[in-house]
Amino acid sequence: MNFLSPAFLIGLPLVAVPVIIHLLSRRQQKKISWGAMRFLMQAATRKRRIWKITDLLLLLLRTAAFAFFIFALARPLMPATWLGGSVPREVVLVLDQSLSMSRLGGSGSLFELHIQKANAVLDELKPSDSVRVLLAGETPEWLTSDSVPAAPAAIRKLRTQISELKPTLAAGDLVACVREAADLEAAKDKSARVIVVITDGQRFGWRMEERPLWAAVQTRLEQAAIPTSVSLQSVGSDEPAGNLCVNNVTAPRVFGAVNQALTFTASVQNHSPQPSAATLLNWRVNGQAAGANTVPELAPGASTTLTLSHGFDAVGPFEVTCRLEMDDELSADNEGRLLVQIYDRLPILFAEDAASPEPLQNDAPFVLAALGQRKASDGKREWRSVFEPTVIESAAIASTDLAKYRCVVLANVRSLAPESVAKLETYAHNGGGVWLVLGSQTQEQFFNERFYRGGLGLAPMKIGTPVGDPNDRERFFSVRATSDSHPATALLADFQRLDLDRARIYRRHQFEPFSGKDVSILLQAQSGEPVVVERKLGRGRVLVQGIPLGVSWSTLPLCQAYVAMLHEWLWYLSEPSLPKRNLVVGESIIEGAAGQSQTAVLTLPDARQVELSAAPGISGAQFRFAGTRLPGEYTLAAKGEGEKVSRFFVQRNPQESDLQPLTDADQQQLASTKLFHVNAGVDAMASTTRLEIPKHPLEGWLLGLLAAVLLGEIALAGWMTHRRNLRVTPVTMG
Amino acid sequence: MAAVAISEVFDAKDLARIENLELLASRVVDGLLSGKHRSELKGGSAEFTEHRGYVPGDEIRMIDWKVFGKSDRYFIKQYIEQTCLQVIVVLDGSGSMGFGLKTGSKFQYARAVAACLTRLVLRQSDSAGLAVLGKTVRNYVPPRANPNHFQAMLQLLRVAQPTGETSLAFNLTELARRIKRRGLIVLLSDCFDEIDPLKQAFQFLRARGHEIILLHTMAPEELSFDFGGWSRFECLEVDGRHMTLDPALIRNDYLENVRGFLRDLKRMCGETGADYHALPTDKPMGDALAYYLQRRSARLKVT
Repeated sequence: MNFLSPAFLIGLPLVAVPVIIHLLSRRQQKKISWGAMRFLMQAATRKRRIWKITDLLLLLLRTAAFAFFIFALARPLMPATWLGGSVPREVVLVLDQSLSMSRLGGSGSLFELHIQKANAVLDELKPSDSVRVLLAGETPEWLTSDSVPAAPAAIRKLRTQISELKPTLAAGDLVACVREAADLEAAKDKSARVIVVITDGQRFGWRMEERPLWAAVQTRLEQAAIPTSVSLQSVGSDEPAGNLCVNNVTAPRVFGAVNQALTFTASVQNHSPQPSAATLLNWRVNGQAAGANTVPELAPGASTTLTLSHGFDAVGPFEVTCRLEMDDELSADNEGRLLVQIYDRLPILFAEDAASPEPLQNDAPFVLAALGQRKASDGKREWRSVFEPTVIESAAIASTDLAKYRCVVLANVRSLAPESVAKLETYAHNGGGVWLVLGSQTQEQFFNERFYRGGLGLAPMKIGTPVGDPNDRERFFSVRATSDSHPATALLADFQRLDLDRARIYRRHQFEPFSGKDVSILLQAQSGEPVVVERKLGRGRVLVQGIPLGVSWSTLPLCQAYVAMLHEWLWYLSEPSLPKRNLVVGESIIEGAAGQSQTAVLTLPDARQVELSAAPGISGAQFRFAGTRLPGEYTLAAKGEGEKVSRFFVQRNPQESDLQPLTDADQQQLASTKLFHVNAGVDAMASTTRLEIPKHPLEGWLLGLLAAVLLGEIALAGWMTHRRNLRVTPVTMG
Repeated sequence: MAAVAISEVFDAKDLARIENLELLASRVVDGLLSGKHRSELKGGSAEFTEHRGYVPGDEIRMIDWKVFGKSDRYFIKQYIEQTCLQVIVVLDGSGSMGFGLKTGSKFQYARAVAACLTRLVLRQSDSAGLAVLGKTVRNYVPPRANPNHFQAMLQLLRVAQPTGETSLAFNLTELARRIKRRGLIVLLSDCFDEIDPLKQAFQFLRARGHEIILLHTMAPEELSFDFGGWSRFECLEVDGRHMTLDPALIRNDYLENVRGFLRDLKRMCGETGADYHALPTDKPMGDALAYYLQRRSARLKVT
């Protein structure tokens, strides 16, 4: 036992004072030679035992009062384990809800075994323990907001919550969970923390190659507020499991027009240690069969891609899925999914300051022709393209509601009011696409001042004096796409199909080198100088083209690639303002609140529902949800909108399909930290770590006992005094 | 043997207080009618003292014919007439009689009473005897009517000391066997003994024709038990017997025991025909004894 003020223990000998007084009082007893002993003995025999007890009790009470007082002054501390208790621990139970836990193992799924193991851990808890449950997924999520004491009722409730858990499509970041658990603020009444991680032993999720990360985790564990250790309990096998999976489904664009084919690519990989057998990959669009591919035999670790080209004959959302027609241990990753939106019309704004009264000297006729303009029988103009342009002069921008358009094309603009430039910048920030097409009327100074604006404006680079002579048709340069992976130039880079390289550029505006940062070059001259540059501004995209869209400076409109280029870039610029249905984990769900609906219900992949309220957004009221922690389908049903349901799909991490277990070297690396214990029980943790057993201050109890003892002494002494002073009438002999 | 001064045993004032009183027996006693007592029995039981010349009217049977034969003159034998009342004062000499704190000890008190009584008895021409009881009849002075007999008893009273245990019943029974004539037994004791054996002893005495007077002495402390603080009570009769206690805690029970004892004692006396009188030692002896004698005389004269 320790004492906070041990100096007061010097007074311990005072405990003997009542005993000394008692003994002295006995010595001072009178001696009386007495004759009537028989009456005395008769009376005393009955009461003697009571006197002795009361006398002794009084002595004990007085001695105890001294002792309690002195000990209370000394402020003792009692170790919590003295009364047979155990070291109070905080147990953090990490449950793995990742995709790999849904694979089969033995008599059931690994997830079922893992729940049984979790219950076994709960059975091992002592009454002084407390427990918290952390769910391992893409990011750690606490199942319990606070620590749950190891009381039967609370544990029963916790078991019910755990039994309702299901595996998800998420990857499990177990290192993050260990770090999260280690960072917990230590409860004052707990001496140790045990982090029990129940998992299938999959290597992915432990990030074993990230040595600096592990060093940081180890430091965190060692410097935790209370001694902390980690118990890794595996429910999986040490043998690597076979798994053929669909890593993902991608497409250059998830938006399209009616009857316009889109190409979908599925990546299939063999994570097995053995070669995989050939199988089929079936495609479906909105549940209807859309095609099939043969997946060839794949060597261990090898992957292949399979494509589907599909035209959509209606407007609206479509779900494109592909599924491997085979059963393996982990079937949840045998399917890939992509959500596609097909449009009928997408309005764009085309603003041009005509350079010449001759139409063919301007850009608009070529653009409108590329968009398939035609006159309908009623005289109205129709567009074969999904993009429906509205043509204005640049001065009209100030009075135009840009929000109605998916992108704005500014062609050969002579000048623009500052308010219009600001309006365009705001439009781009809010997700709109801006295509600045330079031409003969472009003023470098105006451009650099208003559009470049020191790098803060729409344009990513300054422009300089144009080079080349549009009248000299002998001197020209060609252009090419800089990348076949950029979504805006992937098609243009295919010289087999398109003839972009045959376009002759006679004159172009120059971009000043090193005048911008984070600039993306879409087209460059053969000399390497940029011809079309891009920057991301806010949520939107801005393209700056150094040549007109007409034939005044180039033969570009005469190439086959012109129409493709126009459409590809209009799609690329429009995309940020179109609803994003395919998300990655953590990416927010944003949906415009159409009509009068102010609330919506979002259903998550684990069937939980969240109510959302519309909040003012960039382009009107919006429903926003940032908690996309789980991969899978999210459905948003706006209240009051009838059957309107918007669907979103959060893609899973394909690395979670690699079921390789922790190797021996990995386990040794974990064990070398001396804080990780593989397959050790919860109780084993306490004996192997440095523990500081908490001590409870006792002075409160001692003062309470002192008060009780003093009350007892007063009561007993009072009773004895009362008995002593009872008026008794002496005997008269008569 | 040097004469014992009265003052060694009792206060002369106390004697003066009772000198004019008498100790009467309530029953007809043996012996010649003489003095205050009547006797049923014929025949003399006088004691010769001297001769005197015959005068007409004297009883012829009183002539000492031996002296006539020698002197040829008629002489009458003079006798001290043996009183019809034989009083034996029995003094309890047990250790408990030695108790006394504020007052003198009970033994001193009883001794004084014994002395006064014997003196009174002799003065009224009755015979007085004395017995001091211890474990046995420690000392016994047979009853005599001779006034000089008082000294012998006074001597005994002077040297007697209360000590040890006693069995009143046994000793009284033994004493009864020694006493040839019926008489008056005056027991001076605190009677700290079992009541039933004492009752049997009294009955034995009564059966032998004795009259019993119990002069019960107790100290005021024994009647109040007004002690304070833890005390060690050491037994006066048995060496080594003691009790350490807080008197206040048992006072009530002790006094109840004493009340019960007195009640039983008085009842026993009533049942056996013994005359009970309390003599607490804090009452002046003379007054207490005088009060008793007066009351007894008055009672007996009425009957």
